[in-house]
Amino acid sequence: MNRREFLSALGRGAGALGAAWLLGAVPRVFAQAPAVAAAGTFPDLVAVKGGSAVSRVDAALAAAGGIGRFVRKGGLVVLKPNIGWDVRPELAANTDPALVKRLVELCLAAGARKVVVFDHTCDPLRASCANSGIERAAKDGGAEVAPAHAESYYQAVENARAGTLRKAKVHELVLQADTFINVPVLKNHGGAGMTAAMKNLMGMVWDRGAFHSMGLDACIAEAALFRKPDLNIVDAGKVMLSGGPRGNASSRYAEQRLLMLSTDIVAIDVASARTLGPGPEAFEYIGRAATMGLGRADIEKLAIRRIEL
Amino acid sequence: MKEEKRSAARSRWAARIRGALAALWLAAFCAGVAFPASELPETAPLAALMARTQPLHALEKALLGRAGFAASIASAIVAIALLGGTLLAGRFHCSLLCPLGTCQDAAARLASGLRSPRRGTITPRRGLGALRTGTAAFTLAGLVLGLPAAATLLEPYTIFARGFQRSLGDLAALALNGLESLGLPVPVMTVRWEPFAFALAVLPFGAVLVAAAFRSRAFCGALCPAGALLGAANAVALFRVRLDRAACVDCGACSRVCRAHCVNGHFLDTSRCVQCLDCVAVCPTGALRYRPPRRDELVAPFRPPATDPARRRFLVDAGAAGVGIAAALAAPALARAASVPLARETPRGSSGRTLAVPPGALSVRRYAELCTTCGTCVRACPSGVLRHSTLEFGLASPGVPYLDYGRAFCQYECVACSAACPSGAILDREPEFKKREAIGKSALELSDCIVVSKGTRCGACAEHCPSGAVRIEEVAGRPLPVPVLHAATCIGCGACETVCPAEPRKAMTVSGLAVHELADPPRKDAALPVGEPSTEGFAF
Repeated sequence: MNRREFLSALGRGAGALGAAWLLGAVPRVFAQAPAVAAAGTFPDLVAVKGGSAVSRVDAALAAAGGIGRFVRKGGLVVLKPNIGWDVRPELAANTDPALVKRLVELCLAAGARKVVVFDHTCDPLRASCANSGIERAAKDGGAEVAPAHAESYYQAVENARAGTLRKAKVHELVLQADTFINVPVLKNHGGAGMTAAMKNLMGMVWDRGAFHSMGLDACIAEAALFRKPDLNIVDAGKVMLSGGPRGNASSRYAEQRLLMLSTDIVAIDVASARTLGPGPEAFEYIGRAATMGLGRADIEKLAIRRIEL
Repeated sequence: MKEEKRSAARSRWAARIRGALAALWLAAFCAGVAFPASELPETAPLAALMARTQPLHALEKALLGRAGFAASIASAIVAIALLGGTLLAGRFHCSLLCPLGTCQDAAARLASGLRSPRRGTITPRRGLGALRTGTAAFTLAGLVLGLPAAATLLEPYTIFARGFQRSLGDLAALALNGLESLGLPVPVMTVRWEPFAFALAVLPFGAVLVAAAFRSRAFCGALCPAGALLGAANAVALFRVRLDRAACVDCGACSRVCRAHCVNGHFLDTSRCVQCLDCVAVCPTGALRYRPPRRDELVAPFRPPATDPARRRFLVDAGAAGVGIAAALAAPALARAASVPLARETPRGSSGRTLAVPPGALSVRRYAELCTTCGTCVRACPSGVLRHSTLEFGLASPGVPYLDYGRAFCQYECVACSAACPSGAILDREPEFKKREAIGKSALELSDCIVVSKGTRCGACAEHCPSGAVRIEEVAGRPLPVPVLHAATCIGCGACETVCPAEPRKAMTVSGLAVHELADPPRKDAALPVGEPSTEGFAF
């Protein structure tokens, strides 16, 4: 790092702190920070309540050590939001586009060579990308939106540790990524009960429909074995409580204004299940994943940072 | 002399500008129809807009479609503009706005080795007039009587749009896929092999282009039903190419360049002339000019001629039209006598279930009577659920599009097909109304459902159901939650059938409705099994 880069980094840091202070995040962050930060470790799970989608993700990342902890300079970052459905953002069936845009900006600012956003959508790809608002948001942030609607984008991968999902075709971007960030929206789901971090990974697989016939819970748990996300960020801003995953005219919602962040895909799903209502016991795949050692379901024993904006 | 030179220069420029505009317009058409919206949605509005500039479809929607006041008026304005424009400025549509016309010019030009469209003098032939009149009468009467098969094969926009997409469009898609497999960053295109749809698209288009390679605008003068209408108007147009026999020196220049084969120094067949202005540009004496009639020409038609070829032509034309209309009128009776099904109100697919037709069609019968299978809706459909049938709808409506739920399903928020349809076969629909138009109904066979047959959790049908007609519910006596169907809410979009993973028989299947119904509004969700979660603080 030469002097100019150092000064520039210092300036950016000061700017970010200033912005966070303006948003009111700083006092609380510092009020709760010392014990963990001093030890040089980070909380296992960060949950941020209130504010906007942008201020929530800013505060969560600040508490988790910054995006630079996950993104290396010159690396390829792949974001996997939920873009499954050809519906408007208000229906909260897809990840909040404002959150996607902010993450893209942060990854690029941290020095990522390229940020690519993709999902193997349930509805037609182009319509889902356009009407979810995510294509626009990702491009505005400086990312590419990659196609995922043809089998040629997927590579056959063996899954030696799996009992059910022994092989599948996984999107090549997931396999190539230096940093793989999973950005689902939390919502009710007719088949699996809940969509959060693990269920969202179904959209990185080509032969997704086979999950249903092979056994949905086993496949959802085992899909995370193909590539565990380096970071999971669950958007629980507006949570669909019924009629999911697509949502319909009579779907019920809870305005949670919550965002969760963790490297532990099981822990974040446990916290998501509590937020949704039924709790983790209601979703078989969470228990299966914990048994396989994908993460920890006993979140009472984890370091959880709770931030209210 | 100077004045004549200047006039000749003006004519040459006019002909060039016409050619350039026609080429631009064709290029825009090609861009619009080359790829379906499922691959390239940006071009769908362009394709829909351009489809609206075609005279037969505009007439169909204005007069036959029962399309509602606003849509009928809009189409009537287009039809009046095209017909009135022809009465004012001649049959310009065919050399300026018709994509099939310009394609024929391109084919003729290619065939003659990039020289002028055709070489060698010809005698304009008059005999084809009867064929054209008879064919046009048969086609138009067929549309009025609900037998669109002739228009399916002869309407020029239909021939172009279907043919171009299935030939050059698909070839371009295959080329892109080839480049993609070499590692170039181009999108992957879906190309589908459907033999009947391919034949219906490529054979008429290919036949017209091959004919054009030998006699450039042969189709326009002999078979085109839109051309017949516009040609009749051209004969009495105010401005059009006119021949002043007295000024002609019989050099033959005009007949060497005429793409419609309709002019030599002795005769100009106004019913076939497409106002391309090429003859005007090459005429050395100004005998051929694009102009209004002179005073003496104006009164000429009212003077009884010595011998009467005009009257003979009129009688032949009237006879041919009579034969065409009689054939269209007699077709249903003949078909009944030969027990050939002309129209089926419950067309059945390979599964034996009734095929579903798009929201806005109102009924299978109304829809199949109006559709010329131009395929604008098929290309506009973002999910690719619309596909051309074969003969399921009867011989009178070959290739009419239906919804293939084995492939995809109809998107809840989408009205792309009704926005695209130029003929009024699919009516304009507000999304909020479309969401209640039941085009089919689901049926649930629980013994085929994998929750029951395999004992695994599933819910793919309920996940995809946009109206809440299928729900996953706890049912007494079932160990796992199973799908429950509430048919009154179902709109037949096909989502449940498409995604149902059961094999070999799907548990959810959709049958089309011969007459569309108004579905119940989406049901209110039952109370949540665990109650509403708190939104205060953290739940963990």
